[in-house]
Amino acid sequence: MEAKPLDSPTSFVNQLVVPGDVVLDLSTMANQTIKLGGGLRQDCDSITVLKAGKLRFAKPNKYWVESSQKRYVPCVGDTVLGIVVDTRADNFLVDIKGPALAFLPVLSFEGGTRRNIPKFEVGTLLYVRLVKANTAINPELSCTDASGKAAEFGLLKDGYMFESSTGLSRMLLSSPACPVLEALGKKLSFETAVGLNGRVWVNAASPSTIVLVSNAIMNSESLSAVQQKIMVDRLLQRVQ
Amino acid sequence: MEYVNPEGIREDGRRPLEMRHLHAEIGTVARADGSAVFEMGNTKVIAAVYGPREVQNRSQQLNDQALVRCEYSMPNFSTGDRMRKPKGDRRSTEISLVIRQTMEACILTHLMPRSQIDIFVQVLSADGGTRSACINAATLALADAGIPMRDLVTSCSAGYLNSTPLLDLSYFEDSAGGPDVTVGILPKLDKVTLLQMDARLPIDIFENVVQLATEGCKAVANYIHEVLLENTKQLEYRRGL
Amino acid sequence: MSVREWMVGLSAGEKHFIQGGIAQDLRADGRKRLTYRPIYVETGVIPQADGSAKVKMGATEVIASVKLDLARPNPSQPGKGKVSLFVSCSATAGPMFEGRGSEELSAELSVALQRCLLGGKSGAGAAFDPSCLSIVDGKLCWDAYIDGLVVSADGNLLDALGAAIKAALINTRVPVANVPAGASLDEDPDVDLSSQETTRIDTSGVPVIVTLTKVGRHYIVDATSEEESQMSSAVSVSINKERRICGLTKRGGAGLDPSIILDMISVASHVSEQLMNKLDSEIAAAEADEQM
Repeated sequence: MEAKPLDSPTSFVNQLVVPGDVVLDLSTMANQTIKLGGGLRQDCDSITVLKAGKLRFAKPNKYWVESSQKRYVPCVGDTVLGIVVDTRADNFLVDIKGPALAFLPVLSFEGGTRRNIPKFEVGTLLYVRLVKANTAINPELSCTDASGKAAEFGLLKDGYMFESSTGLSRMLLSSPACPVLEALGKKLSFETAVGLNGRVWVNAASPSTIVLVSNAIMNSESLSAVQQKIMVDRLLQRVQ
Repeated sequence: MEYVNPEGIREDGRRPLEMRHLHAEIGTVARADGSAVFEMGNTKVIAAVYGPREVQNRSQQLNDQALVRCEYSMPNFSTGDRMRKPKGDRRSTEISLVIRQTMEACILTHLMPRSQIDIFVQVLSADGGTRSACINAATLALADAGIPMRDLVTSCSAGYLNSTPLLDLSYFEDSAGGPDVTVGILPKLDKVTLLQMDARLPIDIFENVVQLATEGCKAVANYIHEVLLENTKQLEYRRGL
Repeated sequence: MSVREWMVGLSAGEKHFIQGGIAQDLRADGRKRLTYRPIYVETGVIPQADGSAKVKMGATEVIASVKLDLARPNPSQPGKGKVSLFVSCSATAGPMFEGRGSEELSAELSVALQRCLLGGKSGAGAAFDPSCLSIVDGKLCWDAYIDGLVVSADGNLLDALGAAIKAALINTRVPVANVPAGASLDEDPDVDLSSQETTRIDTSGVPVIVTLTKVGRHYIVDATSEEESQMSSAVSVSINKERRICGLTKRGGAGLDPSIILDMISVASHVSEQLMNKLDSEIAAAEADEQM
């Protein structure tokens, strides 16, 4: 794999692309296997872009377009914040900002049996994991981790949830910890849950802390790391 | 009536092959999933995209592709003459349909079966070429919403007055009664997706006028391309890269 | 009025947070109860109109335009031009405004604004004196059509529309119509509009609209749609520079104690002064910008 240098494709990697751009020509890349992620499509011998964003490449052979949107495209393994919109006999219907409502089977809780089905009102906020996602069926959620433990999944009580973009969520979840959360965490104690679908939930002992933290996170969307630290310091000064 | 003076200057000071000033902004409607403002001279339209989301009316659900809907509206203050027209008259229905079909041709609807995408186009100020401006605005709004597209459709119009082909007609030139050719293309794939003309025109001249409108589309495509790249660059920070 | 209907609802915890925050004088976006979101004004946004303006308050965005048409005055009011006002909500503000979906809200906003800005039949309480639109007494006048358009909705539409209309009126240039001496005005009026001269409408009396939204036991100004979804009732008061009330509308299901209404009016009157000053300076800046 590594033996053959990727000549034409590398010129597009880490570049901004728009729909319609042809980024790879398969006819010049014989004997190579490549994997395509979101935002790319194969059209005969060419790989074209479907979404505006930045073309990314991961060794050995993965390509995808990274972008930030308000809507979410379901993907297995993602953790998201969902809102219960309806209850059926076997499933809760949950809005995850995706193209279709997601199903949360009433038994997919730790030790879930027919006898201890939780009662969720419409509007309840849940931290859940996506276990099935393809375009043919509605996405399926679970309130357990892969080993069947409740882990941190489940109901988010109290607090405040706001919606932003998928890009902001990814930034908040990136490691090492994103500067805004790090700076806030040094001075304040709060709880937060970030869904990859662009929803962020914040809880703390006092409402003023919740307001401060959620606004700091929202403001950080268009700031660089250094700017984020300055913004948080300024906010904290104003409060103290 | 003289639409092009002997020096080859049009009523608004442009040359025959000159387009009006283009201006576009992305993300103007805060609550929408994707939105854009597109201006061509005095023509100004807003497009907002909602979705893909759960189909609201179950009977319209399509099992193999996304349902694309479009509503075009034009307030009564947008034109020179004030008229009071109800929402959903024939002209707006027809334009809604044209926009929907044009956008549907470039959206990969089969990737989002059983979902719904709404495109709302609002004219703020109409000075000729509203159809084209609406399509250009809708393209940007769809790209902003991150809806998978084959290519960026762009549109432009051209006409023929005083035996001169004219690019991007204003309302004044459009109402002269000459032909008005609106073309929509997929610039990267080099395909025409929309072609409309009223009035008559000899075939050889028609070819020239269509060629001119297509050139216009390409210029619009270049501009839209730039705007999108600039917008993505702004988003760079948001991803903390 | 809730724009959140089409969106997913709030959880019990969030409702509690919004209400609790308001009780502690701290709102979800960090504002105090009587603080407005930043207001942004741009004038002359519609080239075809005689006056126009765009107002943004947070995620709420509205456009107002003023158009003048030559017409014959109403025989009962020979020295005045006719003024009409309509609002429509664009579907761009949300799928619930699609098709006929916006009719109810548009009508509600139109009537509330007519009440606040056009005054009664006698013309008392009107935002401006329609006699400035008269050209030839009893024969010829300008008819003013004021149109509002909601482009993006995140609460407090009425106040934003009121502000946009005020800005559009200030932006309006009334063309000077020269009627040739001895011209017959009984048939088609032959009016010379060629002169570039324009006059302005006297807008010193145009009120601002302040809506106080009652959430729990407290009132807030400039509510977002999230906050509006938690309101019990709202009172919109239009107040002019002399701090006189020009119109009043109460919305929402819950009943209000008369003493509370009076208290709300006095709070609104106090807030109106800040808003008026802020708006005047924003409009002046926008007008200066446009002339550049």
